[in-house]
Amino acid sequence: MRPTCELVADGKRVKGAGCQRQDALYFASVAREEPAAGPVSREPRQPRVPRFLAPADFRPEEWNEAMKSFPALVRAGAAGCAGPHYCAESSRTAAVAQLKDGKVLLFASQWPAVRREVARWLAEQVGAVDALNLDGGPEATLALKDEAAEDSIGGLGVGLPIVLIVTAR
Amino acid sequence: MRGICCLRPGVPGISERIRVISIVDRFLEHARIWFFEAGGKRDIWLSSADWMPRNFIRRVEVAFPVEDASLKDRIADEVLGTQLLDNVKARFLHADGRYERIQPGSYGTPATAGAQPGEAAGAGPARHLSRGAAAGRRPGDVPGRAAPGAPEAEAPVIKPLVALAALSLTAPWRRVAPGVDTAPAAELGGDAAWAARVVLIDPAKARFLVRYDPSRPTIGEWRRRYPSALVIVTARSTRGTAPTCGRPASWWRTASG
Repeated sequence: MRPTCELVADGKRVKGAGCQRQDALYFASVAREEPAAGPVSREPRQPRVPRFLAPADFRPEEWNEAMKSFPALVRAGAAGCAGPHYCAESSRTAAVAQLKDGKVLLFASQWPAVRREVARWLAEQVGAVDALNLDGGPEATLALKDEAAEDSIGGLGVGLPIVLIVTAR
Repeated sequence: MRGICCLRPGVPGISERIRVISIVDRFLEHARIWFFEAGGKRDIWLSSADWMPRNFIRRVEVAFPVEDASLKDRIADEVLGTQLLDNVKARFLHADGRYERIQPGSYGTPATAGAQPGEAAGAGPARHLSRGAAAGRRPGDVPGRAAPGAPEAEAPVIKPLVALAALSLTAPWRRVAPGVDTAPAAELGGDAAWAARVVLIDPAKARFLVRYDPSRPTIGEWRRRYPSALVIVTARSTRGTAPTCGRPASWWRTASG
């Protein structure tokens, strides 16, 4: 079974089985290692830090870890997710966002939240520049290190085929 | 039921006797109750009624009748009655497909299906039913706009711009690890009804890995695989959402396979 959306995990690209929505985004989190420096010096490249990319701007060969999801909740500082149905649904929600200073913010709700309202909160009060819905419903899970299982957000017995893992550098 | 509404109410000759009210409130107010009444006979069924395409294709939906008369009355009055009286969160569907929010406070005292007994003045189901007549609205009435001067239960609230202050890592943040801090979303201006939390991560001190396993490990299994993980959050896994209305069943069988 392929994932809904494309991803790059540990340098391996896994093509998704759908996810053609126009409001999908990539969260590219770990850039591929620079090739060894050759004899010709060149301008140092800007380090590729985690960022959100539109599908047209995403090149999988540049990233070691990346994932695509939908809908975009915030784009360029403006709340999105204005459409009917999915954006107006109330369900448990998980999201990833980025602030102006480059810090990344993860969000998960234990109880239902309307995605459009989460988007507005992220943009207007948290100050997110970009934000992306990760998953909702029973799969919405967020667990912290050394946290008792019952304190985590999410169902303990729910299968999670794709996860975003944060580790220390 | 849980699902989008594909029905157009109020179409002359077709659905002029049908009214559709949508409520999205803090407790996911879809009670999944079927109520039928004809010739003075009431039938009430409870059902899973999680009417999303994936469930029609992959799961089993079940309904069963409630036969005890007193239980029927309680369900009709305390659950359906409360929801039909909602004048805070309810939206009324027009024949053109447009939803109109019922003005908070119309039909008397604001009442929301998401309130609990004793939680807010006049908002709990018991209080709600006891003043239903006084509120001037009967279950199923077509809503209208609030009268001038009517009380506004949910006047637009301009929440303080707490972003910079909140994210400056003073209280209410709790450190998980260097560069990784967590806080309740409600403490940052988020809706307390979400019962949500956020984790703020400094990419200079932490990195993000994407991992995929079609065998669908549980969160406990992921934690065992990555004991050094500071945070694990679910990512997009299931098939995308597509418009439900007008899709033939064969489309969903193909798309969900």
